[in-house]
Amino acid sequence: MDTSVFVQQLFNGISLGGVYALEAVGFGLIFNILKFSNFSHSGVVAICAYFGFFVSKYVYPNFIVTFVMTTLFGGFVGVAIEKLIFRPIRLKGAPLTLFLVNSITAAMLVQQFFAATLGADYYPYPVFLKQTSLHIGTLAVSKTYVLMLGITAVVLLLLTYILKRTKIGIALRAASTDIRTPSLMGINVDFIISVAFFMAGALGGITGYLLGMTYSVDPFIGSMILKGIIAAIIGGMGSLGGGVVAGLLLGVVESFLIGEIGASLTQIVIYSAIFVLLLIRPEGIAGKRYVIKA
Amino acid sequence: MKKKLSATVIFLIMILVSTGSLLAAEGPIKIGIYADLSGGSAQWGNDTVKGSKLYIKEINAAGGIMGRKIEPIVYDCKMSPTEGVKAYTRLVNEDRVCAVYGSLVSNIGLAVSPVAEKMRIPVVARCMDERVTTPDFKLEDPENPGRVNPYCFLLQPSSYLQSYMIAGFAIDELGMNTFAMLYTPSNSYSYMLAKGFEYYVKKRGKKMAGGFEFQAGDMDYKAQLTKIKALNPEGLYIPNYVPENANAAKQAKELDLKSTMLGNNSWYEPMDKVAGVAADGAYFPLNISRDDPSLKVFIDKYNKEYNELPRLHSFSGWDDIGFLIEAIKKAQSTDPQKIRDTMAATTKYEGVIGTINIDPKTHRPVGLKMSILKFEGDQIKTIKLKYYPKDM
Repeated sequence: MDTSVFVQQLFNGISLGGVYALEAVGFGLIFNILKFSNFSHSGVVAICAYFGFFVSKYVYPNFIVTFVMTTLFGGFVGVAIEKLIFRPIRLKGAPLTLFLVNSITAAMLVQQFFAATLGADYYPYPVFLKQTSLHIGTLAVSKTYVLMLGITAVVLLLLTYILKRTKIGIALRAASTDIRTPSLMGINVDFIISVAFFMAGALGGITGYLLGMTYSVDPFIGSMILKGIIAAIIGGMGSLGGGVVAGLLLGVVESFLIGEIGASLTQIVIYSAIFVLLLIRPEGIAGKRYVIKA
Repeated sequence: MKKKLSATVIFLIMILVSTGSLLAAEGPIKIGIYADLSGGSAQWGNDTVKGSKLYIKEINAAGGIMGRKIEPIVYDCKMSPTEGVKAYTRLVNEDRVCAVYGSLVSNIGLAVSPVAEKMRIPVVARCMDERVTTPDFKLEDPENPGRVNPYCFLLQPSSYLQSYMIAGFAIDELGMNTFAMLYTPSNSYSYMLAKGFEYYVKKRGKKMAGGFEFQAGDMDYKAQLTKIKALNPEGLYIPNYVPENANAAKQAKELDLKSTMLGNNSWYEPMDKVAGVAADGAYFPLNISRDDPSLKVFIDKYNKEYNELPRLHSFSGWDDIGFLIEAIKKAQSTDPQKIRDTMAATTKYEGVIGTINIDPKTHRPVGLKMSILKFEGDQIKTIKLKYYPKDM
């Protein structure tokens, strides 16, 4: 492979992997605390992709303003989903499988809702960046992807700071080790869970906005997070850092494989590799072993 | 006594049945439509329905045919082959329609085709995949299409022919010699177009530098486009649906690809809206050009009815349902078999898009020409009206 193709593919992979990493972290945050696979995250992504389109097209066509609005909106959607479909069953002490079922149902509901109401049209975001690529030698670097990568990096650093250094972050981490004990120490667990859903929702908002802006919005845009979920699994469901590394890795491997062996074979190779990886290391790259998983 | 009673009952039933069928014969003629009113191809589906309803409205206002009104029964098949089969079956079994106008999605056509052959109610559609009307069609031997499905009809140039249009134009008018393709095998429409393009390019002795695939649902093609950029072909053929084409165009521009983009008929509106200036410089074939003066009457009529300009499949809807209704009129019958026979023998049906002469061996139209259009910025310009490619 010639060097310029190699460097270009590496960059393609990292920018794609950045999105997977964002998705993996949004997904992993909830798994960390409630120990179930939250597929409704794809619903948040889809809702926010449409929301971002409508505000940037009809309310205020400014990138930063609409980006922040969508992020916050995503957070509230996350909280609303928790209050509507997870809290009631949690208070009843429902088994984890029911959480899983509810999360899948919510994802399907959102998808079908958009297919039925907005599925008939196309929703291209306004063009925020006029010149589309920067040139470094033979390398063509798209401004959108640089922006995407930059945002991903900032968001992940911010998240790390919150989790490691703030009171709420410490409470979140405490709840992720054991959800019952913190309540004995005077921590409001309901509130902590809401915060987790707000943060995951905000990440979903960012993901939806970036996906919508880079590609195009359709009712099935949420299914793009499947790769993020895979990254979360490879990374180890409990580890956010592992999810980020796995997301980037997945993006890079995918780019090189598609270029060399074609898109159809790539998926077969990747999914087989995941099987093998999980056989050798069921806890993922960085994860801890969990007894209960759903 | 008992015998007499049962005889009376039978007699009464017979009267009921006969008046029932008489009533049916005097009621409206039911025509089935299944179209994608939701899902990725929803805009096309809605446009075809609008075009066809306008035709039916006009026919009904003029008194209908054989003294009966036309009643369309429309189901949404949601861009899904299973839903398409369900809708067709329901139209035939429950609604008892005499003919069906189907979705233009090739994957749906492929699923409905064998069902139609069994249920024997003719279906007219725009599925470009050759295998919908000729199930044994071989990719490597397009000259011998094999047996025809008696109940399926296509009213536009098939995928191979449409890809010949743009390949021929690129070779003869743009002087190109090397090509690459970006397509998806998960969509039979895209797949057949790519295979047809490759076949034509090779037959004309030109070079196919590489065919790159992507998977259903993929939105990022930078890995493929990076490889294509390194191969540096003169023409890059991108024959997919609108969102994929738009993503490919945007990413090709972002990677600074120099090849001229060549498209399929899905590069028409709403591509200008979805891809914007990223589509600049691309050429593609289309059944119509709104610059064609002969279309003005229809455009005005449609605009008046729906307060919007007709898109490609608004024209399709009008032509397809017109073809179907003409067949009923010519057959002077609602017997599906007779309608089918008339369809198979149709010559010189004057649609707004062009004149349809059905080839009874393939159930596809012969000699339909296409226009070649080009993106200049985010504007679509007509480059050539009524183009037909050179023979191989």
